[in-house]
Amino acid sequence: MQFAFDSMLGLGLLACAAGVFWSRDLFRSVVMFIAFGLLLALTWVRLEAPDLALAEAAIGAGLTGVLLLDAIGHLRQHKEHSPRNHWLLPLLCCIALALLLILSLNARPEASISLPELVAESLPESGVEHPITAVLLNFRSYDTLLEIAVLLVAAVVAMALNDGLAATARTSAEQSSRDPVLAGFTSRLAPVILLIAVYVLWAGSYMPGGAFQGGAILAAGLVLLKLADFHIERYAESLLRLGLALGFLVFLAVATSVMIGGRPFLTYPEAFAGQFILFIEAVLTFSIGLILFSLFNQSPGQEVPHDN
Amino acid sequence: MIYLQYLLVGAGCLFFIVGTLGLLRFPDTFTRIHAITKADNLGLGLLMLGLLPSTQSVPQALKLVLIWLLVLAASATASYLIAHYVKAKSPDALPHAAETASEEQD
Repeated sequence: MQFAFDSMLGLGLLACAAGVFWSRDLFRSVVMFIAFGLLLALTWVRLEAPDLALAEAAIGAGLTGVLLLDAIGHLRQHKEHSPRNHWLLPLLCCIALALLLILSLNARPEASISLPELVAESLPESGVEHPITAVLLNFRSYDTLLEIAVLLVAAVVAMALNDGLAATARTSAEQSSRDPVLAGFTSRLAPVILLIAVYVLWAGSYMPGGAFQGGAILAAGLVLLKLADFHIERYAESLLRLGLALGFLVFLAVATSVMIGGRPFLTYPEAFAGQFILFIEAVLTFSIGLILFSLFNQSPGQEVPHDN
Repeated sequence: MIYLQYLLVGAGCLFFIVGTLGLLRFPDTFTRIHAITKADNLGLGLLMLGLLPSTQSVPQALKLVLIWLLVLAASATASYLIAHYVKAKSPDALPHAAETASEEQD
């Protein structure tokens, strides 16, 4: 039974991937890509990696899909469809990558230290019960700090590239026809999305979940509100910009303030590690949500309303 | 009990198959929406009812019901939006007119 399910999943993944590359319509490709992402999330669940599944469903299928759909809307305006007959080079690259992956599976070196055991040993000191959260925010918090910095830089670059364009769109698309059904549905769904985002953040300390997944759900809610013509980003633009940087700043402040007590950079006092991590994760969730949303918000799809 | 569950899940799957068949075979967007919403509403509802007796606790059961309600609301809104968009694009298209099939194929 499980084997049947797994093989259906694998075949479905391959079929979706083929659909992405071989469908003539770009829109169809994107829809297939979203379906591919959802199937991939299911595959991660089957491989017992629910953290990855959450991230894949929220970011890989959800937000990337929305961004791609947005890009298609933009492409349709300009009638600049890229020629889709360049398939030889991508195919060669894919085959080469697949061969490399298969070879590397065969020639897998023995790990000199067993990381899972190491993590399991020092889990009590980390302040959280879930190993992945412990790795992300305690043992390897450098990586997370740099990740949030990269996200912040991406959002800032998008804003810098797009400032003039967003300003013109803002004046033109003033109070367009807000669909009553969509608006009603979205306004009732928004609190539920917020609740789920906070739950995923809270659950991160003892089960799959955490800041990135919670932030992605938060961003999805904001994107939904934006698509339903609630222009939330206009109410407090300076606050939005502050919120973008808040996660990184707070993380950095906590990381450096422990140095006052003579500890190395980014090590939390063991008694308060749990509280520190939860606090950092809460601020990170907020910032990640805002950053992902502002990446969507900065995309030039905003031109659409005033062309019609 | 287990046979009732089999029956409910089987009926749910049947609704999904019929809905998908309708999505593939019906001539225009409105009838397709009509077909696929049966899968979402009734099919998922029957699946949920069939799975309810297998749940371990009340919160788990409530989560199942919540999933169904959320999908109900989302699919109703999405179907409304699609129908609204098609109607706005071709205002003279009657909901049962099969002639509009060709122009909505894209």
